[in-house]
Amino acid sequence: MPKSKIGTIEAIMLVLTIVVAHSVLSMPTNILSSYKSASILNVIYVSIIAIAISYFIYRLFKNFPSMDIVDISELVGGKVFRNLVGIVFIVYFILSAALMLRNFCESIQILYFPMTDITFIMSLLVIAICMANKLNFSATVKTNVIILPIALFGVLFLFFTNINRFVPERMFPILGEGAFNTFVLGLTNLASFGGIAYIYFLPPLLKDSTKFKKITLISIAATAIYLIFTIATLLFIFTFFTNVSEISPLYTATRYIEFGTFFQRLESVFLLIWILVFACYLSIVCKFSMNIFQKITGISNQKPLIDIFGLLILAISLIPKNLAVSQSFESKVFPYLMIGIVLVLGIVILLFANIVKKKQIYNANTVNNTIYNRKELPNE
Amino acid sequence: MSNWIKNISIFVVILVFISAFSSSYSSLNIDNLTYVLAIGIDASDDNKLEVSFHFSNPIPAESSASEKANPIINTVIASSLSNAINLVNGYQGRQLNLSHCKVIIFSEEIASRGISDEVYTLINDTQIRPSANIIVSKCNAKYYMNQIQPEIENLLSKYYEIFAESSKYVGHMPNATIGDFFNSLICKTCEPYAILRWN
Repeated sequence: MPKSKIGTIEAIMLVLTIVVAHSVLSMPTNILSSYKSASILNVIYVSIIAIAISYFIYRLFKNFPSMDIVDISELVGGKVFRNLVGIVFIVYFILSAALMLRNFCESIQILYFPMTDITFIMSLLVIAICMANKLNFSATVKTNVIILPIALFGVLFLFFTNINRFVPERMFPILGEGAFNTFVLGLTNLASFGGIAYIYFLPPLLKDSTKFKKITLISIAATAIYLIFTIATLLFIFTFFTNVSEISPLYTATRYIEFGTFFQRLESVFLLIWILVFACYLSIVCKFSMNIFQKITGISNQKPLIDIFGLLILAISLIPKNLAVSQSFESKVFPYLMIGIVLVLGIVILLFANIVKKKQIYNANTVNNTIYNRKELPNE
Repeated sequence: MSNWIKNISIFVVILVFISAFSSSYSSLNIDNLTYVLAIGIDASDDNKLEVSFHFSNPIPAESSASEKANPIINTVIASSLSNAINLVNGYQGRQLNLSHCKVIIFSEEIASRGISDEVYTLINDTQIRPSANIIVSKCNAKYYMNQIQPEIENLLSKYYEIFAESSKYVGHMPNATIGDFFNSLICKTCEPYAILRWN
């Protein structure tokens, strides 16, 4: 069994890393400012849809065990289409990771390194992911299994330690700015489930491909629970985030945690955990992008690609002029990119692949029946 | 040979990062910072603000614990709170740090005029903690700061930190923090409140 194969828990944690990394940035702010008091209802609503979509994806993958979306796209449209799909997913992964890196590092710079150039802060994370990927993918995955439960526990901790500050009435009016805004326009919030994109590439990486259903459903359900806790914490503590600083809302929430005069300023611990989660996220993105690149180019060794992809992420993250530009990507471009590429393109490819597969099976059965009938004819 | 190149390149990278991060380290070094314990905001002529900063006065280790330090209060007149901070930073040898600011005092005159601009500035400052108490003083904010001479507590910073704790066992004074004040300020159905004090 190759070393890069991952187990069930590792795969679930891998998918969860994506949402944790995104939630540290302005994703919760976008949800709260768009759906206001209906944020929790909207998250529950999109969670149900996301679970249904992930089950549908599992069903579509059932006919293609140990194949990812790039392999499947080759069945649909040949090598050219496979390369096209591969490039689209690489662009999606690299672009989103690079701009998230920029947003995250901007926050770190504002908080702790005001006099340091942002390039150096980003370089540190990029060097970390290059080194992690050079070790082996299992190094990243195992680190993730240690770090992510701490981050998940952190959100529960945040929820329960701030419970005395909660104003549950803030979830009323329950429909926020109306049913249309919550349920129709609110569908764009499916972008919060960015982990679905990585599910497309999981089957070949799994130690036991029969656990794919379990992994898919548990990871999306866990993502939903995590999001509900995050949004509930922020909604019940703060009025709204539209007018507050551009620092991560979760970070702002951690500043409220105090246990008397003895135990204060826990935000530094949270930030340390989030930095580690973010490094794992970038490492996962880098690995998945290299996997796709290897598939479409057919190169035998991935190692020379590590530095190139690391530099690519760094270079793209340097493009935005300031935090406002990179944040506008996160709030205005990323949701549509995720829905377009992951939910529409991915599912359409899987649907066509299933149709092609069924046709192939039907044709094979027809040929078999014809041969069988021809064999039986002389006896008659 | 390749090991040599690898070691040298690692050394160069470490050197570059040390030099890159050293400026942030020195700017946030305790030796280069001066900590503000309280900010007092009064109204001034021409719609300007009279901002007073109450600095911590570190007691030398040799002095006895019962020795009380005299308050160090600097006042500037500026068009906004940010300008006032910049002005003080301009002539003070050390950089102002608000991360230990426990109390923000507004005079009644300026509070009745409206303090949303100042509250927005403070809440957007990453150094100010949401747990800092907000006070409206019947008298001048600077006068109030000068008059604070706790009889039982030696450390003024400690006094500022715990004086609102009495809200837990008596109902005379609420524990009004700037975080709660801001939340109520932007909420359409809430009313912000502060601690009312007079000397």
